[in-house]
Amino acid sequence: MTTSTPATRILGAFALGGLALTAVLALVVSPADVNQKDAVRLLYIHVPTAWLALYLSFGVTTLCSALYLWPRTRSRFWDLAAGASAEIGVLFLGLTLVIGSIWGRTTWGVWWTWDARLTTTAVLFVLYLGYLALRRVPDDTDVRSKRCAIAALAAFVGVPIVHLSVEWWRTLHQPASILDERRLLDPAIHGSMAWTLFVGVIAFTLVYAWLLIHRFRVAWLEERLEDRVLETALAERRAEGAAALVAGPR
Amino acid sequence: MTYAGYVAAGYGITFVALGAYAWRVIARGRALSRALPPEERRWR
Repeated sequence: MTTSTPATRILGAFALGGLALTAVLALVVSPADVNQKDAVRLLYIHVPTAWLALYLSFGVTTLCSALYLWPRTRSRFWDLAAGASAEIGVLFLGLTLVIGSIWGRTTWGVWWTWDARLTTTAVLFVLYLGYLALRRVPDDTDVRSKRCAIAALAAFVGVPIVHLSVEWWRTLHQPASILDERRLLDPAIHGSMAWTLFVGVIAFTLVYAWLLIHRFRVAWLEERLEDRVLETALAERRAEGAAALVAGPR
Repeated sequence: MTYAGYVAAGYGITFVALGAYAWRVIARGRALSRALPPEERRWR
């Protein structure tokens, strides 16, 4: 009685294995950085969580929301998938902010600064928290889903702003090391550091996929249960009405 | 290791948060599956 299947159990095992491998590579195998020293080890989880939240999770939410809004592809599937992905994205973005703050304390000497990258990321975090709150507002399912899909499309505008914030403004946060068209073929990270980061991104992506499948299934079960409660209530009301008709006026 | 406490805190928070969220999702899925009749349980 779970939301698991043999396929998700295998995926979960790979995700756990990936996380363990990432931890070993990040904490034991890869060397300390010349400038950041061992604080660089935090970046092997900070970068994957940021990549997952900003580009994958919120990207999937936006795509699913667009597919829900498009009349030809409208289906409950897309709305539930959008909500599930956004929730996981908020979790990962929260972790990005927390790990980034810890790293900032070691490297910049402060837990937080109103730097453009940090501020735009915090605003995006609040925007998607608002999106999740909007999903909980009780209303007709279709009306609520359309409203949330539009909100998701609007919130995604913040993602390119976060990505480009390090170029648009003078920031303390360093520019992109990999996801930059000028550095794609010559990234600013090499050797075991690059491999550790690569393994980390793959491992966290597997974790995201595993979480997404389970969170989607939970949302699907919640809807089935709501429908069932509604059907039971309607059946009871019909039975009461029929009993009142049989009994006649009093 | 320099900054050992910060590194441990970063990894600890990440793995605990992910584990807690995964556990919550699985537990909620189990509870919902139990509340539904067997013919409506799609995953076992």
